Amino acid sequence: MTCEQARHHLGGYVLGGLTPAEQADTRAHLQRCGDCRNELAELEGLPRLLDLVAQEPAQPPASLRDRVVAAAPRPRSKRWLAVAAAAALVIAVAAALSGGPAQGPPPGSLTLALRPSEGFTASGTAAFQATGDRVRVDIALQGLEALERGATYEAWLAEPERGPVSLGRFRPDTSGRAEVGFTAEAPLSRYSWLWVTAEPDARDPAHDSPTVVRERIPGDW
Amino acid sequence: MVRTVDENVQPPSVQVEAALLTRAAGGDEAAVAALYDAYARPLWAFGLRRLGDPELAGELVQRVMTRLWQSAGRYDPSRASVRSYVFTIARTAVVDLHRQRARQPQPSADAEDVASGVAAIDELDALLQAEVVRAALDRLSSDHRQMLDLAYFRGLTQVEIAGCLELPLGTVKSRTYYALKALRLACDELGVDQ
Repeated sequence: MTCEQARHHLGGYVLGGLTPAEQADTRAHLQRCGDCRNELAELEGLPRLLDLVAQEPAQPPASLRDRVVAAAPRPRSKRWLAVAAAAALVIAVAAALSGGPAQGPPPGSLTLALRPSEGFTASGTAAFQATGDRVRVDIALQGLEALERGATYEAWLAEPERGPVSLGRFRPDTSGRAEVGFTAEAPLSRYSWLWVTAEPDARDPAHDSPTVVRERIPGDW
Repeated sequence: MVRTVDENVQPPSVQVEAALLTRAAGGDEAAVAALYDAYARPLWAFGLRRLGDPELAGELVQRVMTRLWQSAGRYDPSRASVRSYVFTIARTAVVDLHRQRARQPQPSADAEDVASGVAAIDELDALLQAEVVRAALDRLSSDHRQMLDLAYFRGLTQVEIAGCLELPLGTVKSRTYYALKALRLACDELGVDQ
């Protein structure tokens, strides 16, 4: 068998389907010919890859796609940046006014303005205070929608290495406000985002957990 | 296993995905949708198998994708492909989900097993890889796809294929060979680990 004939048979050799005589002749040629063995080496891993796709995979529901795409980041507009800058100024002024003798915020503290997700009206702040190996997180929110029985809000921190970390759950008062304190592992720099979700009744099998407010935690803190 | 990708030998698709991730993190909806379409199906299948519940599987997909946008700033395309990155995030997320839903305040051996067992790692790797192999098959001509289907998935002999398609046996043989060559090339271009 020549190399050309061997290559001709290589597809059937790898996938199966040659006659026993063709199979034996091809094998004999491969034992003698390094070039054709190299060619075989290129192709012989392919059946294993084809095995991976032998079964049609389960399809996630179309609604999931809409949800993920809707929750994705929005392009930053100049208008939003202006709002954020104004919010930061308000916080800085408030901190200076409440901080007494021109001291500014104590070292190891940070306050973020939490911005509402699309379709929500809640807003508020998250104040972080480092204390040894813990970070205290005080969240103050207003404009929260009333919840059904069994449902709660839940505060989260995103930790790049581990994913979302739940701070804890809470319910607003009758005026739609909530002031809650949690602690998380230090340092705060390990977290990249803080957000609050509405968690419907855990017993409801069809529940969805929309994000109510969120903000990125600056990396240089 | 998902391998670390060497900067110098990154196939084009790996670079494309890295660029997609940057655009997605900047709020480009089309990029978000493209990455979702590339990863939702294997993540969903992994969630179903490991968490045993469509609702939790959906939450897994959502968490992994969200985490992907949020940590895009820290992603270094010279060190790993987006696929390896998704793989790492998914392993963590599935443990967290399992733990959270079981209301276990401390890590339990059970929760760790959900994602760190050898079977789980291999399974997620295979699911992610299968998605790329499907994409590679989509790049083939219909003649080549048909040949792989008949010769491998349906297990027909070369002679049977010749009869079935009314083609000369020699044509079937060379077409089978070139179908495999084309698949190999497409897999290489898409960065399938061999």
